[in-house]
Amino acid sequence: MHVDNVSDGELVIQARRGNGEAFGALVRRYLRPALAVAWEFAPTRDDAEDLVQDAFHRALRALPSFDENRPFRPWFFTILRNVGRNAAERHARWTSIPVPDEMPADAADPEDMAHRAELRESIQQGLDILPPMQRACFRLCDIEGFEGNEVADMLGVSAATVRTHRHRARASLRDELRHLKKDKEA
Amino acid sequence: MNDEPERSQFESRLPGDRAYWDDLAARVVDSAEPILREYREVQAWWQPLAKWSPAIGVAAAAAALLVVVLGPPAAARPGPASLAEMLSPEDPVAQAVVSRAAVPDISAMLLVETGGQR
Repeated sequence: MHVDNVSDGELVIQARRGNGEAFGALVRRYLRPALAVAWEFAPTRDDAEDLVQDAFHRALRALPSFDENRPFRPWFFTILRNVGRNAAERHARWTSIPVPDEMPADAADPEDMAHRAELRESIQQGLDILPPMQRACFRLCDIEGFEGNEVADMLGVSAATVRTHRHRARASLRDELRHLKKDKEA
Repeated sequence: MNDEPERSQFESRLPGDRAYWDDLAARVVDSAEPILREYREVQAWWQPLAKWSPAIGVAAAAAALLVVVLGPPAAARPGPASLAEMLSPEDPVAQAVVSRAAVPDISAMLLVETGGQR
């Protein structure tokens, strides 16, 4: 079965019949955005992967009641967000998102590395103080590069809402970076 | 430090290597195998029936048509039974009710079996 050009609806029909290849195609199609959204709820990549796996399993179990003529993406991401919210409620430690500690491989110069680390920390501080929805919209669109309408489906809001949150997030980050710059100069 | 949050300042935290995504997809699909097997089993059970369903449908329709066509004509069918026919001939109380023009007295019905005598 060649699945690249097959619609989501057809893959859903095949997956309902137990076709692992069709289900795999659905998984591969939505895996990257799914992990990005799951990571908004989970503190680590490992935790986010577990959420993604759980969400795909729940979706597979619910496929018999899904109308294949309706769009799969918003339906699936509703399941994923519910899984994420439930998991976040169960784990109190998931309330804060830690600063990633990996260093970029191309930052060989120690001064450059220090500058980038400082910059990343500043940005992370700025991101951390944003309201969750602003942070998610900004990260998914401006960092991970997803389209606005795609992010709207992923987060269950309208494209206009995504734009508004991005705009506010950018303004807040701009202020935060200016503030940090002044502190540094002082 | 640039105070504008430009995209170049940020780094995606999503892995970039294809192998990572292939592995994760395989992990999700492999762990879903019990659910997929259930679906295949249900499918295997229904498939033979589904294969014959058009023939079964046609046969059922033909049988229904035969019953309508070959059934007894309306005139030959017995009409509704009268109330007297439906009653047991051995039931004196019922006969007393049915055979009289006026509604019988309750005591007459109670004593009908003995001809009104105690």
